[in-house]
Amino acid sequence: MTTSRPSSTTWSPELAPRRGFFDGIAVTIRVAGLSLLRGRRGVVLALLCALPLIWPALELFHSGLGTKGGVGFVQLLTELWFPRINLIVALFVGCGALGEEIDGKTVPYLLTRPVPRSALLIGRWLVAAVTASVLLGAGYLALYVATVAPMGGDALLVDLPILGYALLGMALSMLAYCAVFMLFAVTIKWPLLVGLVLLFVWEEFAATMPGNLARYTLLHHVYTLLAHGSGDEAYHLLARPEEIELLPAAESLQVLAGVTAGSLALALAKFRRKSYLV
Amino acid sequence: MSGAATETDAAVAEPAVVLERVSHWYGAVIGLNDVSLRFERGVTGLLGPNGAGKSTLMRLMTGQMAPSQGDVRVFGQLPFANPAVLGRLGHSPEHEQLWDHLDGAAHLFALLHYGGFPAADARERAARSLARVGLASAGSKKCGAYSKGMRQRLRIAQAIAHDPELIVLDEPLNGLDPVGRREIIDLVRGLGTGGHTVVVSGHVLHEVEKMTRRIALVHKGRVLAEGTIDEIRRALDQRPHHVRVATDDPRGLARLLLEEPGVLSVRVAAAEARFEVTDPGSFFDRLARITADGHMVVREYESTDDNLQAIFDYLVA
Repeated sequence: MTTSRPSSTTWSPELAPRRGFFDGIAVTIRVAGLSLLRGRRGVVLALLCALPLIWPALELFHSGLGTKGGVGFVQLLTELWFPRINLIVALFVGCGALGEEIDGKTVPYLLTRPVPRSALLIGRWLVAAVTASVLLGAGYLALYVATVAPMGGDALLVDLPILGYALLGMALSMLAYCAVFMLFAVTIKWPLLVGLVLLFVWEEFAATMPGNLARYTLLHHVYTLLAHGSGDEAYHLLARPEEIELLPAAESLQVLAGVTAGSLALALAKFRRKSYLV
Repeated sequence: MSGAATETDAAVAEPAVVLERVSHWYGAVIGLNDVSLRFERGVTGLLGPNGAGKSTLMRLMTGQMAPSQGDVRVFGQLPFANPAVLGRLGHSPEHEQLWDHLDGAAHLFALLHYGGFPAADARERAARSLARVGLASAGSKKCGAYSKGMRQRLRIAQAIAHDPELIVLDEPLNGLDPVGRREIIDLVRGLGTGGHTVVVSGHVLHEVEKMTRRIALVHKGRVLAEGTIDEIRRALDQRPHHVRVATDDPRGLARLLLEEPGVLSVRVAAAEARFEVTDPGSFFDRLARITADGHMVVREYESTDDNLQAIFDYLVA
């Protein structure tokens, strides 16, 4: 078949659009944005984050102003947020960051664009970690105000470091958890199910077992960092179950960083060579 | 300059896609079996029933999968997860899924921007591409509210929006109404004559035939035939061609033509005669002479199996 000759500018390979690694990460973040919180999932996760506010509201209703302070905030963090809400948010956002494109069969649109797969994965991981952190951070802030403000305006400033460390610990844990769940999403068929088992079977089980088994959970290292940072007794108790020795902060930081980097490396190795059939 | 131009010309003249002895397995199931094909500029139809291996072939050439065996080259490079190749191709998948939370224009913008175009350029191209597929007025509508036909048009729009050299369209007429089919057929033909390499799959044979005369027939993971419809038909000359001739005197025509060497048989009906011939070229020459000499009035004639359906039936059978 004869065809007309196209203009050379259109067909020059050098002019074909493409993204490099860092550019690809940046554009992935821009395009994916806060899309992870859209729809029903966003509403459910936002409600989940708002749920603990009921507790200080009831407390306030019964006891009046000036009865509770930063201790209530940390109690709620250690009893509800870190071991429950953080994990659920990380699970759904981390698995969904790429998983929803795979399950939703829209992944071919992304895989046929001139963007390195590694940039796509890293970009989506960052979007997931930041999205989860922003959502949880808003919840922390609301909880902080709800629990500390009744003690008076000064308390809000005095207890600010407690909030700061909590946010920092949460953000670090989101980087690690989201990396683990992205690994699940690109390697196994039922990432949510396996994630639930990891979070609510393994982490719960290991934390309650005697000895050093708790150190094989991510949450233990998050508590260790918070114990070192904020010095709060509640974190110390959680970081030293069975009175085991408190790990140095650097060691826990290395564990979190190692799990994050290792999960991402494995996810990248898989994602780079995987074919998605839709 | 001239040297560079010559190099560019040489690069353009090479087939955009070359598959050499490619096989692909899905576990124990074979999707493609020892396929060798070349796709050059213009439109090529990839024909075969569902499950024949067309989509597998398209996934391989669009870099979504690597072959289990053999070599796939697009623009001389391995396409699998290769951004240097992916920037030069566009792919419209068979499935209907879109980002339903986005409107049509935002969908195209996201893909263009993601694929390397600056925001302003991406916006302009998105609008232009929507207009090309007849969705200009639906650009602000959420994809979730699109009809099947609109979804198909948008999938085609995202495949051509960046003006790629290679365009791979998997069943692009699915879900379209007759008017839509006509428009997309015209669009595909236009892309082919505009210098793009277009690979288009389908199983509605007469529609593919309207887009191109160059085809590859795929069945059970194998390529049964490739080339123009005429070439393939000629390659099958061991089988007789069927020719229908409408005339007022079919018996008289049958008498005249049965004497010809390549005519095997004839069936006569009220106002037509159906011939089985081994050399259609000579047969049509003789028919033209008879008509020109005024021996017979021939109202129309056609080779009833010089179409894709007949060729496909031959090969698959």
